[in-house]
Amino acid sequence: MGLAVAAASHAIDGLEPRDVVSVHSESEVVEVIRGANERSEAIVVAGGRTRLGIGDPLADALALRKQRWPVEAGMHDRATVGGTLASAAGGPSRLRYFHPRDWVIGARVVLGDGTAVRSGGKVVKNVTGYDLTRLWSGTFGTLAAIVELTLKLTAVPERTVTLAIELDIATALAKAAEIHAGGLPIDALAIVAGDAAQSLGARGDALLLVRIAGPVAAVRRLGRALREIVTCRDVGNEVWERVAALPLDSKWTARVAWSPGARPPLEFAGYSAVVYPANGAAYLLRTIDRPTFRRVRDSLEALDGYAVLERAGRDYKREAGGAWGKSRVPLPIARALKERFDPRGVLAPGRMPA
Amino acid sequence: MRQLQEICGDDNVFWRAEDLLVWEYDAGFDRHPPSAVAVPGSTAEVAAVVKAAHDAGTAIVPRGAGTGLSGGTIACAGAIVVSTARLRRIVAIDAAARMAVVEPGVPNVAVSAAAREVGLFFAPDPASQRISTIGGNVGTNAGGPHALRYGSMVNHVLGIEMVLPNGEIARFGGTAADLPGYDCVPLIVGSEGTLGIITKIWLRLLPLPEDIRTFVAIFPDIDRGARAASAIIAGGVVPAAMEMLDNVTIGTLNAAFDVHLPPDAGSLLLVEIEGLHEETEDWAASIERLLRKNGATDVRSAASAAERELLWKARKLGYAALARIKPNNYLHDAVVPRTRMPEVLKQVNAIAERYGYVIANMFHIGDGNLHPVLLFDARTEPIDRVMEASAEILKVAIDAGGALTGEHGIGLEKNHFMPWVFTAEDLDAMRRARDSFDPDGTMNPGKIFPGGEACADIPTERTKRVLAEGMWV
Amino acid sequence: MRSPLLDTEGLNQCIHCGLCLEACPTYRITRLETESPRGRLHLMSAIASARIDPRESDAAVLHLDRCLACRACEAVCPSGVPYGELIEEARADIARARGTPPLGRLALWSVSRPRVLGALAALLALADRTGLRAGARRILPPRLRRLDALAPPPGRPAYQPVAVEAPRASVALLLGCVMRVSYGDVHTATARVLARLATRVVEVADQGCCGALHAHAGDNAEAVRLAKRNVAAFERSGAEAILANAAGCGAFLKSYAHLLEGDPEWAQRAAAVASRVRDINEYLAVAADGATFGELAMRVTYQDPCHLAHAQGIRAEPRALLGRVHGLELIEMADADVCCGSAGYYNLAQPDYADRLLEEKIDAILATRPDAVVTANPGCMLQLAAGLRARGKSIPVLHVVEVLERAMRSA
Repeated sequence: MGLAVAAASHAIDGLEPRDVVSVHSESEVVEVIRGANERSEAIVVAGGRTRLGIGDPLADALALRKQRWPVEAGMHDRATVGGTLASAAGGPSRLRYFHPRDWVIGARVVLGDGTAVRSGGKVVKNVTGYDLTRLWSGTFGTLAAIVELTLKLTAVPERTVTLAIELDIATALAKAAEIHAGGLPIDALAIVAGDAAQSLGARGDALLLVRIAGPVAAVRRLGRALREIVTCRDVGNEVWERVAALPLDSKWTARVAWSPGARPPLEFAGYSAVVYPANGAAYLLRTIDRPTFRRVRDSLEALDGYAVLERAGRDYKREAGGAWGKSRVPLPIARALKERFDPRGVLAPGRMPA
Repeated sequence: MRQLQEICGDDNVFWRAEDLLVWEYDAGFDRHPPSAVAVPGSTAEVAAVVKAAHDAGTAIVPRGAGTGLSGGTIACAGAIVVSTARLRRIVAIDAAARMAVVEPGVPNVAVSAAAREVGLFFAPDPASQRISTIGGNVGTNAGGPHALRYGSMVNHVLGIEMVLPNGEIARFGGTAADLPGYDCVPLIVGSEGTLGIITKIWLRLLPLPEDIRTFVAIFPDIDRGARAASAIIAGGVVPAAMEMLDNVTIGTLNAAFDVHLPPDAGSLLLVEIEGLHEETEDWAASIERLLRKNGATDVRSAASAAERELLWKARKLGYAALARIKPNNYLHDAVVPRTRMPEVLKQVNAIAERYGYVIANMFHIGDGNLHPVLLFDARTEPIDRVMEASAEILKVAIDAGGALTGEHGIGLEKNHFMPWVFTAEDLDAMRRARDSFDPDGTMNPGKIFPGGEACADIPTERTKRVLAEGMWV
Repeated sequence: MRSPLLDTEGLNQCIHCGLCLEACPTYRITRLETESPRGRLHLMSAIASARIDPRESDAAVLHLDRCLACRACEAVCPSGVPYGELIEEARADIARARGTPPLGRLALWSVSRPRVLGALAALLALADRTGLRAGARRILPPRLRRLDALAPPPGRPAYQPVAVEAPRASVALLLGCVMRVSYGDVHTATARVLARLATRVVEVADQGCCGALHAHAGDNAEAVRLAKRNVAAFERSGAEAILANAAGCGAFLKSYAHLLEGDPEWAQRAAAVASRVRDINEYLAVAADGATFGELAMRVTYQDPCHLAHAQGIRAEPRALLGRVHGLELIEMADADVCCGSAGYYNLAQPDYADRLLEEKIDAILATRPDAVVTANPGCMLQLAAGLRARGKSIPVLHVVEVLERAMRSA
């Protein structure tokens, strides 16, 4: 697997790395990280840089065997599996297949002190010691650099169909809630609102997208059931790749989340956004003024949710109260993890709340 | 002691030797009594107990219903047991969020029972689910037959409230996904009580399937059953559950339950599919074809919900029914890659035969999770020899690229075998994670990690250590 | 002291899986391993292997004493651990080592002597009429006040045999001890229901207390003596079936074979008698197959007696019988098969636990808003009636046969 340690076109928040090193093996990663420890340098681990920043080769290879890794992180031609795990990437597949980490059963990583370690294994069910594989998920390369993953795969469904309808945002949210509450096995459910909807060719306020998958007869039945709730039309499955990529294409992206059982605290009217209502998550895609953002963040945090700035200028982040907002992990634990896995703090210092 | 009594009340603290005897066991075979037992009734009481123990430098072993099979709740090193059995409120069932919030002492099956009222269910279904607690299920990352389709506990735990080893109450995860900061939930799941005491859990619920179909396929021998199972998995349809029962097990279930399975069958596959009617219709056809093509002499489907429930009751309680053959048994939990299953089964049965043990196989063949059970009588057959045979079984599984345990945990049972799977560096990485929570090592000492002396006064523990260190070349 | 009695084979069957825990009433209210079947079996093992000396260990004995012997654990045990037998053997062991406690001795002494019991009942009735009982209640010590609260309402009519012309079948009925004195009318109802099926209840002289309470309390010798007397009496009756309308007694009669299996003179005779024993529900479900029982517009809930549901596996039969009463609505209470706390003289020996169990039971009953509570064992009837009285409820507690008999009268 090709992997880039360090970064540039790789600039992050306007900061350019001093050097970009491209590595091709675990031993090279170990060498680079050990060097950084010796020289007290910082390293940012990068893959396809879609989320700082799955590749097609993987998808193609699997498709031949009618298998797939059911994680849609967006920009599948650039995104790497390592980056997808490290960033705990969200996307349309979260509804049915949940978290990317649930589709990884083993990992090799190089810790911040240059030690290469393995976790998990080659079997789908495993409690042989701590599940470090899943711990690396969402750590954005601040504890370890991922050098190898063992993935769990699933079969490609016989048929997949995507249905869409243009609605006003309030109706779209209500219909999405109705579809989800029905309990039918929906494969993906999203609302694209505002400019983002228009970028997908919608003329109206919002686009409600529903994907169904399975044996042909089941898909037919699900299609009928959906059409009883909304009159939607078949739009082709390619749209999901564009939906998943929207948060990565935007100059400014905020990921917001709330309890999926509660009404979202913002109504998305006037926002450019991708909303995954059944997951209680959304990506805001057009910059909003900082006081408004702070208000949105406060209201979300008050309801056990959050607003994270995935893409924003350094100044914006600082004035908005940081990229992450209120940390939800006990900070002493977070600090202890960082100190023990990356004792000299060479891996992307300051990137995670700790 | 006085302090514990003040916190939990006199009736919920034990220190007399005779009382402590009933906390010296779990469902495995390592035995050691704790130095005291506290059964707190609230999160605040748990925190106060942990704080008091921490201040006194006393080690703590958390315990739920004590149904574990790997010695995870056996107290060594002068540890006290802190039981969460009294924390048994279902705090909330949120139908819209498809989520349950429960205390750790709630029995697994109670969650599904409560969820059913709003059309949902809780997927992990360990065989012990009638009694084992959610807290214990989190501790061992419990699975069960339906883990094949739905995954183990780690796939279904969204948040955890835990009393840290210093007595502070902390919360990880919760209702919204991907909270900012390191997500420790999957680290805590399966950590076997070494990171703290869980006091509240946020669980994912799923919509009840519209249709369930259960097949019983009969095979003349184990090998053909195993090959049929592999063919089903390779065929792309993932059943909700796929279990294998061998001839010894079939006989036992017939004797203990009213199931009327064919007593002469060499093996039997119990295959269940769940989904929309249109899905199960489609999958049923392809599964039945594969079963017959691969040597099934008969394929029946459960005619009613009652028949289905009886089959599952027999399957899930079957392990305990094996005591009707011999009073003691050693239940294994190794996992092997599915493609290696048929040959590993042969080797495992050959080991049992070589040692002269009756072996019963009743296991999750769909995900490669073996449960060979060696039957013996501890009054006449030395336990050391059983453990020797068991170590050989583990070695076969590891040599095939497998894992030591799929759902029971490492505990005291397999800690010394950890170097068979992981390097010193790998294990050190796990220790770093533990130390981040428990720098003083007071939570459940002697478990998971090999080489420690904390539990060295347990005879079976010493035997296993010698075997693990001696056999690995 | 190594136990000569404890069946180590049976104890060894326990693999500590814990599947019994949730079935155990005392575990359910305490969540303590010490009050669980698995814990108690482990303590029994410890006594059997001399790790614990029952003469020394009050704690271990207390945990065993707190067992209701309801056998709910046995019913759910996949390993087939004979818990009911084991707890009796353990108690016998402990009784020999420590002696039976005085209150238990008094209770046991009286139940096996019908005249004593009868005299007690007459005394109570007299005290009631004269107002002495109300007065005494104020000055009684707590234990005895409890006994008083639990005592059956006096003045229930005695058993009236029912004549049957041209009977198609003849059965014997165990009259028992407490039943005979306190629930004679239930026997009469039983005989009337049987008469409707052209079944005659033959008189069996010399029958007496079944001995269950003695066995449960560890007084094995007295249990054996009573069992032999009953075996001889029922042998002589020649009845094809021996019916019990007290679940606890029926279960114990059925176990005579086990009780006397070591006695060459009695083993076969006991087995023959035991094989003819039927609970009244069990018998009627077969004998009255297809028959309906008239009409009774009533909303009831049914409490499973432990020794019917767990010891004899009879759960469907009483419900099916009630289902054949036109107009009767059966509302299931939560955990109907969890012990009410009666359990022989448990409510006297372990008042705290008995009360906690009874509280939960009464809550479950009241949640069904019944016109009457139906069950099939005198101990349960006494306990439930006391619990309902204590809550100020005038809901009657009826035996299944009383319901059937009332319904039949209406037809």
